[in-house]
This record gives sequence, structure tokens and C-alpha cells, in this order.
Amino acid sequence: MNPDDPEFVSAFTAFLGVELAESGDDFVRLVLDTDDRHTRSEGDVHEGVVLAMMDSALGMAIRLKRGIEASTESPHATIEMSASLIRPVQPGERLIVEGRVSNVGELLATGEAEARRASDDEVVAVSRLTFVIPNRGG
Amino acid sequence: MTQDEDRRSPFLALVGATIEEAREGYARLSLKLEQKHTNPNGVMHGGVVTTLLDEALAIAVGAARGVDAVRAQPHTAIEMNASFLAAAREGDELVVEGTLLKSGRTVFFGEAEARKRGDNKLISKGRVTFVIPKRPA
Amino acid sequence: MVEAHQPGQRSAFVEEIGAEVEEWIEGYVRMGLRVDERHMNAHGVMHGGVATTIMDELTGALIASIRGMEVMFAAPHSTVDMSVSFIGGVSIGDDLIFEGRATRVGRSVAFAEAEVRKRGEDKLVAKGKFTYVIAQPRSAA
Repeated sequence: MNPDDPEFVSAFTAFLGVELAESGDDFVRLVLDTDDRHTRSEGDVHEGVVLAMMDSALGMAIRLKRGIEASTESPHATIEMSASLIRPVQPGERLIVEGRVSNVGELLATGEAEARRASDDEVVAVSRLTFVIPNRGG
Repeated sequence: MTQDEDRRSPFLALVGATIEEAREGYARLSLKLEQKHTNPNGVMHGGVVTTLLDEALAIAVGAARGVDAVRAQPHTAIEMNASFLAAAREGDELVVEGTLLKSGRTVFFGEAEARKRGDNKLISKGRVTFVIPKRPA
Repeated sequence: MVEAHQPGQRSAFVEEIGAEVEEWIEGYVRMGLRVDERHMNAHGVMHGGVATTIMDELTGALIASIRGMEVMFAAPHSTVDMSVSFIGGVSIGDDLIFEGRATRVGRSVAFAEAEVRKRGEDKLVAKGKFTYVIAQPRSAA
């Protein structure tokens, strides 16, 4: 599975309409053109959309860093996430989320993700995530 | 209390969750997991449960504040954290309960748990901080 | 040969702060602190770091109480992630109790929480969530 494979973006993020914009050695950038389906009852975009994209962006970046084979053999899983939600997003806005790997160890992988609004490049949210890499047998 | 259309976010409807109960300082949501909720490992995407933890608490805060107060000055999440303890899969039903721990004038803070219906296994636990933003000058 | 870590023994740093272990049984640890002028910050309330330090110590001890001293010594656990919320202010003279609960202790990762209250009161003053990794067991020397 490579970054061009549609399954590379998970079923849930694809369901939301998220697309892969760019990827590199230790980063992945996702985009989403938000609309009314993504909103909370107050009218702005639900922060759950941003949280999901940040988790995905970093999960994918770690996948690229570890290599597709290692990631498939022992898939890493999020164990911890903390996020600051800084600015609102209005429906119709394009969201850009970048996940960047901090470290991949034997047991844990960590990194950060940042969400911005395309219109003014302002930061919408920042987060830190920790993933666990399950032990292989033996 | 059954689903209150006034309280349900369009995004929550998109995800497919149901509001089971909402009262002052407490809310309970549920969601039957489908293929559209999964990540590349075939288990529930973290974004699904963080959305539910957040929403359960937002509703709990809303129920404590009252519909009119929320409409006049909506509260918003500024900080959240969550631990993901066990995997949930397609076919599982998640029950998410949010409980307010602190209810102030401008700051609200609560914790929420997501469990699997049936064996009650703890899937995720998280905390969210909400504020009522200052009106722009 | 190294001495096993005994209940009641705590980090030099925590001892320096003045926190005391009140109870240590499998699955439950309680610590106490009488707040004095050493613990204050520049704004006249207790420094957040005091609560964080004690909660960190407490959750470590809590996981140890579940895992058992020998197991812990062969494969120590350590904090990798924590998140603390400061809910109420704490003043000089306040008598604080810290209590911990393990959310889950797995093979390589453990999750625990700690809550801080003023003794006798129900209201939360602070709450912390801690994630630990458990090292792979060392083989016998």
C-alpha cells in the first residue's frame, strides 16, 4: 500500500471527504473542504473533524516513516492524544492538517499535528499524539 | 429524554451517533460501529471516539447551562485529551458517557468514557475543557 | 544485588516537597501534603508543578502496587505522557490528599489517574492522567 492507494486514507477520513495533499519522509498533509455536514449546532465546523484529521495525518506520517511493510506487520495504534483547539472554522473553509513525526522508537512513536485554515493560514488547532507499536512474537 | 433535535450537531448526525440521555452535568451517546468508522487497521478510528467524548461533554455542559444560555453564548472546547485503551471493531456498539467535573462561570471541565455495550469494556477515556469565549470588543 | 523498592519509600524529590504516603495497598495509593510557603507560585497560589510531581509519584506507586515489586524491578515502568488539569486554587495551609486509580495495566503500557482534593471536601482541586510504558524484562544476570 503506497500513498497513492485510496485505502491509505482511512475509511473514516475518506467518508468525511478528507484527501491526501502531500507526503514526505516524516510528514503528511491532508486537506478537507468543509461543508454543512461537518458542523455543530452552533454553525461552525465540529472540532471532531479537526481531531480526526490530526490523528490520521500523524498516523499516516508514522506509517511512511516506519515503512509500509513494518506498519502492516505490526500496525501502530494511537494510545494518547492531547489537543488545543485555538480558532473556529466556518463551513466552506478549506482545512489543512499536517502531521509531523517526532520520534519512532521500539515501542512508541510520537509526533505533532497542526491544523490551519487555508484562507488566512491561521492555526486552528495543535496536538500531540503517542502511538504504540505492538510487539511481534518472540 | 429522547433525542433533542435542537441539541444534535449535523456532524454527530453524519457520524451516526444517537443521544440517549442528557441532563444537567451528564450526557450519554451511543454509536453502532460500521465500516465507515474504521481506520487502516480495520478498527475504530480515534477521531470517531474523540468526537463522541467531546460531544457528550458539550451536551452535558449545555444541559447544565440551559438552552437559552447556550444559544446566547455558545461554549466551545479549547483543550482535550484522550487515552485509547482498547480497540473497538465494526459491529461493536459504543456507549459514551460524559460527566461534568467543574462548572464555573466561564470555564467548564469534564471527563468522558467510551465503553463497549455488552461487556462494558473501557475503550477510551478523555477530558475536555470548555470556555464561554469573551465577546469581541 | 539491589534493594527492592519498599512501600513507603519515595523519590528524594517528592520527600523534599514534603508529601507523605498515607496508604499503599494493591490498587490504591493515597498521599498527603500540607501546603506551605515553599509550594507557592508568584501569584499566591500553589505552584502547579507541586501537584503534578506528587500525582506522577503516586500513579507510579499505584502501578507498582498492582504489578508487584519484583516484577517492577525486573521491568521498570516510567511516565511517557501526562495531562493535568488545575481546577481549583490552593492556598498556604491547605491540607491536600492525592488519590490514584489505575485505569488499565497492560503488558507494555499502563494508564492511571490521580485526583487532588482538600481533606474532607468532595470538590476536585486537580486531576491528572498518566501514561506509562513498561520496559521489556531484563534477563536474569
